[in-house]
Amino acid sequence: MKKSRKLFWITVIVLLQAVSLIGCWNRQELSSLGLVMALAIDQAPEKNKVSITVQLANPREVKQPSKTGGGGTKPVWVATNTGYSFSDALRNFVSISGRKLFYAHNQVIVIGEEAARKGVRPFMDFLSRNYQIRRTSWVVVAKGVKGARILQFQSEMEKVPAMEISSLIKAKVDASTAAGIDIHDFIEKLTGDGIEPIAGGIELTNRTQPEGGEAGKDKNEVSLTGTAVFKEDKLVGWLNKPETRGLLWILGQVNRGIIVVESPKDIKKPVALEITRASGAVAPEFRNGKLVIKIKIKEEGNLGENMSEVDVTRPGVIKTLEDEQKKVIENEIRAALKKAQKEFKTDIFGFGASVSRNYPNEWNKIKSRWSGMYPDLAVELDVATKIRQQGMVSSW
Amino acid sequence: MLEDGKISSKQYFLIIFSVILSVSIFSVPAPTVALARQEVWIAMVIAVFVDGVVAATLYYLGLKYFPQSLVQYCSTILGRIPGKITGAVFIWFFIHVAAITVRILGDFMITAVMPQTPILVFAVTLVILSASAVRNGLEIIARLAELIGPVLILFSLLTIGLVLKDVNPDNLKPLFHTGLIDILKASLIPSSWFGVCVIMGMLLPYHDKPQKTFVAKMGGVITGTILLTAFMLVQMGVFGVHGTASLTFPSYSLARMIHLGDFVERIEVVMMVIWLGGGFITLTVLYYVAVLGTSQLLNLKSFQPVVIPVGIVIIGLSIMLFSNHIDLKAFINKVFPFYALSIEGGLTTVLLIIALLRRGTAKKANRK
Repeated sequence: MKKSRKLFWITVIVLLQAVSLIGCWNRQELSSLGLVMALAIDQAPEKNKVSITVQLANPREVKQPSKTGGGGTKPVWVATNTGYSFSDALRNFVSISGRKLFYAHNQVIVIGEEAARKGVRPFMDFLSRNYQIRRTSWVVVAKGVKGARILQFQSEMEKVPAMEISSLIKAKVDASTAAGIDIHDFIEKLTGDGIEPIAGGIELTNRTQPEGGEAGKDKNEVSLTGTAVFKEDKLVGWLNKPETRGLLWILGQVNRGIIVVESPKDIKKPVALEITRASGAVAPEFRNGKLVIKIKIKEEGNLGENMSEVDVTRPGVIKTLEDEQKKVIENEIRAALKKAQKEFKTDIFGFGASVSRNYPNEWNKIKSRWSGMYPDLAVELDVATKIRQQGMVSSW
Repeated sequence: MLEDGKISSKQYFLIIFSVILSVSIFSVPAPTVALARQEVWIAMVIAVFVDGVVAATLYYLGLKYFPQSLVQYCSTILGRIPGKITGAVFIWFFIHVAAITVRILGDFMITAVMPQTPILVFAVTLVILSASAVRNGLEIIARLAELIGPVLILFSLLTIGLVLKDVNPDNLKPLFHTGLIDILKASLIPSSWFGVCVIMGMLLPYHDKPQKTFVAKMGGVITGTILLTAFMLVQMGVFGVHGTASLTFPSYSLARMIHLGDFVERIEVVMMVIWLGGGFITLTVLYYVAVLGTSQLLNLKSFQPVVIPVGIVIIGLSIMLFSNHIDLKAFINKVFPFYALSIEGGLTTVLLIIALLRRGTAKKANRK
């Protein structure tokens, strides 16, 4: 009798616990959420307002195999809304989409050029304060267009365009032709002493049709080109492709890539060298009380392609190629330095930060004068290049 | 006796370790890094020394008045009335810290995971669960620590290991460039949290080898400190000094940074559950010593009747002490170090001095 009563109460307690397991307080069903895949920030027509564009994914459509085609709803939905602040604009989406926005899967933040020129710091607060947004979302600046326009492009490869932008950035970073900057890096550079932020630049281009195909009428393909350069939180200009790699050399972020040099035999026929590993370091020095920035680059590569007829097995040819390679790297770095130092006057290389790490006492003295000193800083380059392998053939 | 259970050295070590790591991981990094900057490890070493002095004091007193607990030998040393008052101060301190622990864990849950849930839900569920552990006595809590402690060590190492590739070593420079005053000020913050281990004074009589208490306790503190320091260094490496100081929960943000390939990511919830487990041990141990101390102070035969009232006090305090998280942070960073150290370090030192004086006078009396 007693035993069965105990059993009864245990059963009751277990059942009651089961009731509490079915959900949490603020449960959110997938069907009532709008999964935000990409966000774009633009200046609204009204001066004191921002315009936010979201790209929402429809999980049901994304999962289905592509052949089902028409009839179904679209896999993504792009909409724009304005508000007095970032979150104000976002909140207004509920009234048009009927779904609560969910940011945890956000891949990219696209900032329109106009908004970037006005300053991005106010937006960074929401991006770091919100508990759903990850600091690993990419930050890119739309070159010449509104960020909203970027989110409207139709991807051929992916159902969700944001995923394509994200993989585009990853691929470009692997090829060392673009700076992969996420919210985390951006904020670190923005708040850091003696360093200014950068971001990848994204652009709309013509549809890349195979030869013989019909050329697209409207610009409807995105490409990642160059780097957006900021001074404090305002966009001041752009670096082109070689300048971007110059910047990446200094930041030590070059991993892979091709360096095309002129052949020693015939300058019209190029030799391509593959970068296999590279490192870059900034070492400030005080010489007679004058600050000199030394940049040390070490690069190793392979002979990737030889379009000319130069015989690489001949002694001295490899050495010549190494010197050519060194020249190309130096030119890229000089180009980046010229743009950033003389034209934009912004310390995107973190020279100030490296002075503060290595000479903290001196840094405290020159900190207030830094922005005046920076454009006239003497920079010395020390580039060492090596060619290690020649590939499957030597010379033919 | 109120408590018949005995705990082993290993359990003792794991209890202290869990208490050291799991709440400090929420409350210590941001303010300590803000003050000590790159020299945060020096601040931590100082904190261990401060805690070692407190531990030595409690060890000496605990063995001298064995098998009395901290609350009991207060009366033996100071006489009946002052002793009871001092004991009550210690009990208040345990309850207060337990309430702060509940609040930190609750604030963490509503900031980082479930913003729309009232904090009362977390406070009540945590304390109810904790109450059931407390009712079962010390051995149950010790076994719980034995279960969660090693997992806590393992997953802390895993978190650190997985974000190591995001560490920028440049952020750890310049070394030796923080003023001594700032380092000392910073060391007060971890000291005050390590000092919560005055609970060792309450647990020492239940250790099966009381002579080994000091080793077990310092082992727990040092293990916890090493992990906590590693966490802070990695946080500085990833977020920079300024970034770490400005984050609300740097350790959680650190876990959010984990991304290995395209598949090991978004695992911060696992970390969160494990830290909550550790926080739960901290709460339970504090709750338990508060209950045990109260019944020893009032000479009760059993501590069961005290469990529910103390739990209600902890819930109430955790909600009412602070009006918001900014309030809580201000208290933890600016007031708590002095308040806690005056009890942990100050009060125990006074006890030690009086105990030594009394022994002196007792010897003299014997000679006469």
